[in-house]
Amino acid sequence: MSVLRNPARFLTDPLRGAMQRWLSRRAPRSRSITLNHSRLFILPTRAGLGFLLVIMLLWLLGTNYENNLVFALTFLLVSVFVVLPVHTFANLTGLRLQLLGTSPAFAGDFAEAQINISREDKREREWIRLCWPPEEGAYLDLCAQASEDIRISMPVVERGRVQAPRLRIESRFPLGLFRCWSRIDLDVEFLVYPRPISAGPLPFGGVQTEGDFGEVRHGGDDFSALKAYQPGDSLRHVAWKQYAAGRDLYSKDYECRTDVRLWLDWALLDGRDVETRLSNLCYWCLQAEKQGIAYGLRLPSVAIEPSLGPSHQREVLQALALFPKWGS
Amino acid sequence: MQKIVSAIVSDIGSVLLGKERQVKLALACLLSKGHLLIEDLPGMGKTTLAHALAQVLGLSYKRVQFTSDMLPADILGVSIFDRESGQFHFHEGPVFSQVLLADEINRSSPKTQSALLEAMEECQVSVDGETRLLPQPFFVIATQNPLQQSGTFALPESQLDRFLMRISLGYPTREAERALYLGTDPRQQLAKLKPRIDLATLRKMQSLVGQVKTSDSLLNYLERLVLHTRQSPDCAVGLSPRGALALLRAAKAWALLHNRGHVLPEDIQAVLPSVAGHRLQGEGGNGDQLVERLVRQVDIIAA
Amino acid sequence: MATTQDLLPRESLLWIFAAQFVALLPQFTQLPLWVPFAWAFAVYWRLEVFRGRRDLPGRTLKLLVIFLIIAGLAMSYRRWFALEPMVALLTVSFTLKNLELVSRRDAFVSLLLAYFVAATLFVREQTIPYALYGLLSVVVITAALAAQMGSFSARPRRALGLSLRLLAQATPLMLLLFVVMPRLGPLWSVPQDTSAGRTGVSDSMAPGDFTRLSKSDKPALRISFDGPIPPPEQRYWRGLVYSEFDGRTWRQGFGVDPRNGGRVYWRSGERPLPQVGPRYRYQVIQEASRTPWLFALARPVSDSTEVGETEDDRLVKRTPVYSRFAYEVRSWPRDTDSVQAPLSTAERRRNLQLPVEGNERTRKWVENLRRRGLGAEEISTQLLARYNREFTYTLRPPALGVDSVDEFLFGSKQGFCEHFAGSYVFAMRAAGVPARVVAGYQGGEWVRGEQYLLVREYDAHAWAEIWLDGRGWQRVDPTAAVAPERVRDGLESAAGEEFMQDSLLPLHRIDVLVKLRLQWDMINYRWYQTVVSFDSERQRDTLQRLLGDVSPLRMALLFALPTVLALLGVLAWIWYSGRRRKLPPAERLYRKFCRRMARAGVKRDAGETPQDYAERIAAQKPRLATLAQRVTDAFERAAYAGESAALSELRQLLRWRLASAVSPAHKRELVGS
Repeated sequence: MSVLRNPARFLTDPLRGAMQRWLSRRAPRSRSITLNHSRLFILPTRAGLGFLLVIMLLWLLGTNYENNLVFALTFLLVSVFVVLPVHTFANLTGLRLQLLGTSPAFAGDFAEAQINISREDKREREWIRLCWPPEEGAYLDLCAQASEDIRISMPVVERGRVQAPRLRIESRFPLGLFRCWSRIDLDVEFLVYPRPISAGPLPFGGVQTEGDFGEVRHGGDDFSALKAYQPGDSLRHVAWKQYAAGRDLYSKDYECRTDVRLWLDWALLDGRDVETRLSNLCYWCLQAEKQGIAYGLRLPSVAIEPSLGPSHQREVLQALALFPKWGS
Repeated sequence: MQKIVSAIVSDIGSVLLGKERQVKLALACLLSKGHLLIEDLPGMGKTTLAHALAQVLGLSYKRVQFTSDMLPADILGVSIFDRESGQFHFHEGPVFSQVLLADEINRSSPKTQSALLEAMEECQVSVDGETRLLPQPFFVIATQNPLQQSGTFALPESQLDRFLMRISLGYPTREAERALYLGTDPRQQLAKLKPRIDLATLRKMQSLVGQVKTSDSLLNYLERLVLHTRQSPDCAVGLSPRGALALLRAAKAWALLHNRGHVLPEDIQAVLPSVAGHRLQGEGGNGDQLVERLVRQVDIIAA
Repeated sequence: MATTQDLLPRESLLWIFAAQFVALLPQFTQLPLWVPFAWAFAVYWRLEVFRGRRDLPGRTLKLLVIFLIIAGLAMSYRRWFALEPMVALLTVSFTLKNLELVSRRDAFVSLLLAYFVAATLFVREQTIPYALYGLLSVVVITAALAAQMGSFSARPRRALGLSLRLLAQATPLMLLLFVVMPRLGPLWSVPQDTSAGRTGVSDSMAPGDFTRLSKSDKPALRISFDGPIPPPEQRYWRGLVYSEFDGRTWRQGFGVDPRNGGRVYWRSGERPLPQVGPRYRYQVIQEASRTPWLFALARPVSDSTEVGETEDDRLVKRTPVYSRFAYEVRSWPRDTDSVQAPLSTAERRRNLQLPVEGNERTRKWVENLRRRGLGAEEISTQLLARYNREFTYTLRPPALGVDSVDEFLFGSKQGFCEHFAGSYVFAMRAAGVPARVVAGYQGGEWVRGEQYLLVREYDAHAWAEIWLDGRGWQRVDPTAAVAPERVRDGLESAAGEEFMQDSLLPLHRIDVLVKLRLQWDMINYRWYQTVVSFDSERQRDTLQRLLGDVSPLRMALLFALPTVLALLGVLAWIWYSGRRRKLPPAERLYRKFCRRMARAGVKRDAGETPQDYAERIAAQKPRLATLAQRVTDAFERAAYAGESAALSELRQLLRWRLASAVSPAHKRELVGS
């Protein structure tokens, strides 16, 4: 259907796919990449085309006025235009990019990757831009220092392990008339937690458990014993059968074992769709951590014992992030 | 060389069943003149390991049980006034031994801890303004209860750094445990152990560690590893130059134990968890997890 | 909407304004006064906007400003299709652009415009100072472009250094292009710079005109000879012929002026050439005179484009000389031409024309001489003798009344060349001898170092030509009769104390300065010869000198060889620069092995030790087990134990064994699996 709605994509998508395939052959994925001529592309920018237009106009001026100095200027600019791409290229070639790591993020937020850029030669590098288009990305210079770490962020929408698209590194140094760029795949993978969505206050004591952990509470639906009837007991709990058998009036005592620890349980959120459930659990997790209450997580596949602290939180959030996607 | 090593390992292995790797690590630690920290629950055989090591290598052995009311003098020794001679006599503390088992070091107060650690670092003891050299070789095996246990004073990072390695013995394998049940009392077996080498041989082995070759390729790998710990966002604190040196020394000893005159990347990988585990810390989990990730991420071959 | 990254930082703005200022500075004097002020105001406004004290002008205000500026331009310039309004328009667009200088795009547009404005400077002047200034502008504009890149680049030293480096690297190619690129003629006629006042010999002559020229020492012509050089007394550079006299002013008149019926032969060979070869061959470089008159020795022929010959042996250009112009001339002095066509009736009548009345005393005096039966030559001699006896040559002749000839001949008896020439021709015509005034330059200063003749404005001169039956037109210089040194040595010696008296400082009296000025003129001449007048003809000559013979093949070689060499250099550098730091050989070989194994389906993980990898290969591809083990062993020995023998073994293993190991058969197995 989407093809019908947007017929242009019908044409561009295969093209884009072919481009991606070609790129992945030409510039394979790796955590550490050295830029060289086989990865870099270079073309004039719009300003560069404007520069060409000025050269044309100057040539016309020189020709019509038969003015050799105007010619000289024209040719000088032509030569500069020829020399420029070499400089632009030199600004990027030989740079080494290395993925240092990624920080996890919440869906709907920006995920960040730390990347180290270093040069092995002495040439100063300037105005290098790293980004995931269409994001603005980050700019950096390598002048005095030979290596620099930068953080680049990308918006993430879906939870789970998200493979980042190819990173774009580009430079328009020195005059902005040429753009040298490369699309590199640093094998950046983000761990994206679900988007926290408020699900009300923390679900204290809401979990009934089969185990023997926790404290016993009266009430509930597990029959535990008969006890002598006392006035005030609910008439519905009177053991009428026994009474009928000619014994005293007993009252049935019900109890349930309740875990007093805070369990963020999948089952608590029955009736909502998977993603919302995960989002709500995520929200609770953050709240509990903020309030300093030990909490555990129970998913259909995983259970994490209650605890507190950053590493525990990370474990919980990771479990939420990696919960199997619906339908997959 | 290889014969001696395997004999030592099998001797100790007869008392400490199924812990060949830890024994070798302890041996490597001793050969590279470092100190060993064993972190484990009580009853896992820490004492046995220390005692057996001392026995097999023919070294004097003392054991100190650290408690919270211990004073530095209880370890270092104390000068006592002798009324007959009218002089002070120095009574050597347990630190004056070749193998010292400092049991449950984290139960004592920081003051006592640091007294021992200073002695470890400088191989000498200063009491009452007099400096006394410790016997050589001097090898401390400290044990530490897991930090979660109550009544402990955690060793600060700067003190942890004094230990070349930190290992944990862990539960024995099923076969080893079964053999344990069936076998005789380890203590009796311990008494049966004979020294396998003399002091001179040990010294020679220690000096041989320094002669193990390290190629450029290997140093590059080491450099990459260290750099990665410093750059990676996972690690809050990277390996210090001392940590890097310790790693290299331990790897050399490990290579020597395996009868090799040069260090291989697997030597580094083998000692890395015990050498770097207690030196690294960060957001991405505890030191062991960091080390595991480190090994996975850093390429052995230069790119 | 511009994103934050696209907004212009402070350094960018300052650089743009600096570039604009440098490009505009020489134009300021030429523009109406309000234009620079408007520009300065726009800059001020934009800086205020940057400081946050003001907003960028709104739409209405901008429209108002545009309207005002267009009105201002319309008021200042009547003619739109000309150079000055064009420059003014560019300046004004700068100004307007400054008011909406927001994004990087605006900055680029502004700076690209600046290049163009800098170039228009050359249309006005092509002298060395202007060229240097133009270069400076280009350096600054390029630096401003570089500074747009950001904080580090925007530092003045860095930006200028970058700009200089780029331009220096561009220079060799620029020179090549300059020599090689073909010059097409003008594609369409363009407006010329008509702003400056006229100098040089004008197309009419009234008493006092040449005195004005005598006060200027600007160069007018530079003439270099190929072969013999005419002696000083023969150096009459003819430019104009005045045939019509109205009692006061001499003009060319109908039939002489090419714009007014005068015949011009534009194509060479249209007029028959003399039988013998030319005596003089030379090239004239003429300064801009804004008139079409060219200057040459008598009976000139020129093959240069745009140059034509007139009936009366002059050269004219098809369009006025707005900038320096060079032309090649061959000259046949009159005495080499033995065959003379008789003077046509129309010509005779034209050269005998006199006003109906006026200057009666002169007419009478001549009538007397004729009555005594003297011929044309005797009358001329009489007249010249009279000049010689009674007249003085002065740069400051007294003013003359209505009968100017009478007053000069019989009253003041003091005059400058135009007085002598005018009165002589008048007298000869009155005596019935066809005569005409010729104007141009006489003499010139020989510049030894560069071997050329420098003719200055004060060498402007007027003389006469009379028609003698059987001998044709003969040159007569009445000034030579009164002051022969004027012709021989130039004005300076003839006028003595009066020479250049009005100039602020008598610099011409300081010997060193005179020499320096000559040196400077030599440099200028060189400059003009090699750069400014480098046209398609000269291009051909240069190429011929370089290549011997201009064939397409050699041209292609000339162009392709440096290009190919430069390209090869760049390619080599690109290849070199992109290469990684060299890996130790063992690791490089092992990587190769890993790549092949990966192709075979077992990819090595980053942290996997070689031994583990070998074991995994053995488990997954048992066929490769032995090989992998051998390679691994060799690698470990080579890389970590430092055995050089192991390295060659590794090399051997990878060269032979692997090639056969991953054989087609094996590949089939891979595909199958």
